[in-house]
Amino acid sequence: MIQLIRTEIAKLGGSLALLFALVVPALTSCLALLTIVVNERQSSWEMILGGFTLPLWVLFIFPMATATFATLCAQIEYRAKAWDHLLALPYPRWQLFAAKAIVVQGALMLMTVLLFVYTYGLISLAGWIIGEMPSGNPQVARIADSSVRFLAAGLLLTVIQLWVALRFANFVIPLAVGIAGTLVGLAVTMVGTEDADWFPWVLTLRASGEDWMQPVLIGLTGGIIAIGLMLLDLSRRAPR
Amino acid sequence: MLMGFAIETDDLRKELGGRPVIRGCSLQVPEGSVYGFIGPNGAGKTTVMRLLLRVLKADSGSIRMLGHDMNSDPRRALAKTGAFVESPALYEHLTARGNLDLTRRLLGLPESEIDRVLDVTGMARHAARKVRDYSLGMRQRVGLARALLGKPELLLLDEPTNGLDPEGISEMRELIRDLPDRIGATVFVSSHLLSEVEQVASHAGLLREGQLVMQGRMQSLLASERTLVVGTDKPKEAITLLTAAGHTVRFGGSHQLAITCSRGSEFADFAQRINTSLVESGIGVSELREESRSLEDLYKTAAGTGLKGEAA
Repeated sequence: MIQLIRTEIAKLGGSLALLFALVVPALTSCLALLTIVVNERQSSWEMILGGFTLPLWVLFIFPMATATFATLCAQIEYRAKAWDHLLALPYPRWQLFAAKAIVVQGALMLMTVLLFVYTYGLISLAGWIIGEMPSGNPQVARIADSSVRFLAAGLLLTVIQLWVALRFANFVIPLAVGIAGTLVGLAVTMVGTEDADWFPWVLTLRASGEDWMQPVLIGLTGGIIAIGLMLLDLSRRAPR
Repeated sequence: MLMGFAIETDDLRKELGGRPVIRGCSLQVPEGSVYGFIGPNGAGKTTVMRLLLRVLKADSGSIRMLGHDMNSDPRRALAKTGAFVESPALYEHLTARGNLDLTRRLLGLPESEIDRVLDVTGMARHAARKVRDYSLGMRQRVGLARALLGKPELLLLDEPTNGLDPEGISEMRELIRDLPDRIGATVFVSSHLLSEVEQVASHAGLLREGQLVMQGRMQSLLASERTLVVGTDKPKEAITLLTAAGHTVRFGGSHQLAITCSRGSEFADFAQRINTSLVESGIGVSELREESRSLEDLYKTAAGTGLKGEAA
């Protein structure tokens, strides 16, 4: 299994998926910088990281990035027509797909870490250039805590996206699922209803707030069940 | 000496989308042979390859590969099998070495294996280039190199000369022909071109509409009926002469005759005898060649011979 995971990581080298994983957090950080630049009042680290970067990431960028990254990872195999080769390797099939799921989840965690590293670096650099740093502390522990919670709650969303991406050769399908899910998530947030708290694309936002226990439990439990079903389905169907 | 079978299947059957695609395929591929798996496009060759590799599961029938039952113990056989099916599946954003390294890691092989297979396939010079810059021929070679990783005992190659130019076909043919001697592997190679298989295979099997209609030694296949085409300035006289001598003759063109040679293995002697008798009778001979045989001809021959199940 370790070899499979290492191979999946090696496959990302030089791929569009890797480029995407590095660039998207940077672009989000640039957006954070822009808000500081246009804001005439002095900003605080709490506002920049906890009040802008994290919500933007959780509500919009993360679900879209999950859809795109999962699709790009699956398309690495589809474009190479590599399924026959992979499935003929002397490994249990479920391990091939499980390795992919682990790498995708790991990459999303890394992207979240990069987001805060980039944002902190970029804002610090800008503050050093203009001679005015944001007030307060970055509150790393609080940000890390929120991130762990929303990533755990996001497991269900990640598995759904990866499942659809691996299941269908046509990349439009997982992207459409991702866009539709994100839009519904946005609508639910704007309306402020609590009727759709179970919706996978809403769970991440709920988990990063105060009442995080229920969304984390639903996201984690649902994610674990979904990954089991995904491995069963993909092992039986064998993608082409 | 009794020879074992590297691949032995019994009445394989498979339906895809409710349509029977494989309708009874009982292969017997002798160890150490180059087995040509011939059939027209759509006959089910690639599906059989997928069944052998357990990418697809057969609806019924059994498969034994390298002595292992593929239903109960597929991984031990797959660990000793190299393959490429349909096209060499390569990651275009990686180099040839990068692609080979992925499989090498998964098979737990030393890094030196990469250099060995690159040497065997003549790709060592180009190994640092990204696959997206490769020609089709180079991709086929890298695909073959990957199949050779770990010195497999069995190689399954699906149409390895597909899309290659004549020079590439010739090189790939030589490579395949030498594999049993170079690495001691049994080679199972599919093609829709009889002429391709004829030049590399020691054994062959013919698949038609999902059914194995014949298999056996290549010699046995070649021993079946062949046709000699003779170009002559006096076709009528030639027909009279040859028919009187007991040959089956038909017009093959304005100045051409087609003469049946019932013992294909003695074709060269037969051509020489015909030529001599015509020339000695004062009939000029301007052309002497074998009429190219189509798969259809072989199927017809198969119906009239008992070649099926004669693999060893």
